[in-house]
Amino acid sequence: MTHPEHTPMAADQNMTPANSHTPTPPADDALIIGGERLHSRLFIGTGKYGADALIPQVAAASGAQVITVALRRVDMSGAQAGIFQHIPKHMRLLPNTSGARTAEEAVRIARLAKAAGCGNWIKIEIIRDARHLLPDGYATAKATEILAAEGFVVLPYMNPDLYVARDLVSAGAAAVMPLGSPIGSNRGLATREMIGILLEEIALPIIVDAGIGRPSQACEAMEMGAAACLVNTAIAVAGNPVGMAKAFGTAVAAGRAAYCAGVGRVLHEGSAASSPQEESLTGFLHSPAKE
Amino acid sequence: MQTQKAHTLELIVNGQPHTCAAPTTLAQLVSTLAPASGALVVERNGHIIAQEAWATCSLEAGDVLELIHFVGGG
Repeated sequence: MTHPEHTPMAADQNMTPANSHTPTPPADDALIIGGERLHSRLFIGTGKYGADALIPQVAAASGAQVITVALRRVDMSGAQAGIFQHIPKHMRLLPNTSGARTAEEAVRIARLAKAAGCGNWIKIEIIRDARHLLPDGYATAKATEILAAEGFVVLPYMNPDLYVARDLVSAGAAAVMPLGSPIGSNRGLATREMIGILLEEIALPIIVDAGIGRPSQACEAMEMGAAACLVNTAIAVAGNPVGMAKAFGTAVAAGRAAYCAGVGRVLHEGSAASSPQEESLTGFLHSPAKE
Repeated sequence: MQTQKAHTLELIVNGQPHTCAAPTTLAQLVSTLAPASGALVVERNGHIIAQEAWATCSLEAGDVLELIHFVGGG
């Protein structure tokens, strides 16, 4: 079968997304994960805030419906309070398995999170490299397989690697969450090309997680066809986290709208004027004046 | 009347030695150590104890307990 881009229609079809996997979004453009309809495609985190009391305002300004948390031992000295009191009750909690170095540890953390009574969503995060904080794909696939079989809605954090992504699909992931750049780095979509491959090849929602530093980068990920973005550090360490949360919410929505509208084609050489070119540029100046 | 010496339990809680009176239920321990933690989950000797069972769970000497809650994370 001839690829549409090779047909004479190609010039016009360049105005539609080139990605042949472009889904037909539902009428309300909800993102459906684990049977839940999400109308905001920005997921936010709860780490690194100067004051956790900001979180409700950040959540409201962002419009996000999904919020990540981590699990840790209760601080017996009372120095560090839990985060739960600051999370708006309507939000979907997405606990992560941060701190896990093996599949077994991630599975244990996931079960603890579920036992805490906050639903069955889990972000698998298995990291053995303390400097770069890059995820272990093999261990992540193993944990995903175990937890998906137990009924968890599994969202694995991953390197944007095609084979790891395929393993995660086979393992029963509900989405895959490739990193844009290393966690907390605010370096943006350093892995843009690799994420592009996942967008072409993987049928699950692709949620860009980690490294997004600016609203424009989140917007670009959404224009490319990402299903959502997860942003924590860039909001939490902003001069005004509430203002930045609003900016990210707007950027993610704009990027999604652009993707749905069909981003226009790029000319790799030459130009194509936007104004009519039937006559010379200044032809109207030389038209005979009407009597 | 001579007061009988209270029995105590030596536990490990979140990696630290902890002494409490005997008998103590898990619910009592939690209300003492983590009164305002919100969503909390407890592992006893590697097994998750459902919250409904805390009140009837009598702690024993040598129990290893983990009290886990949600903190900020991305």
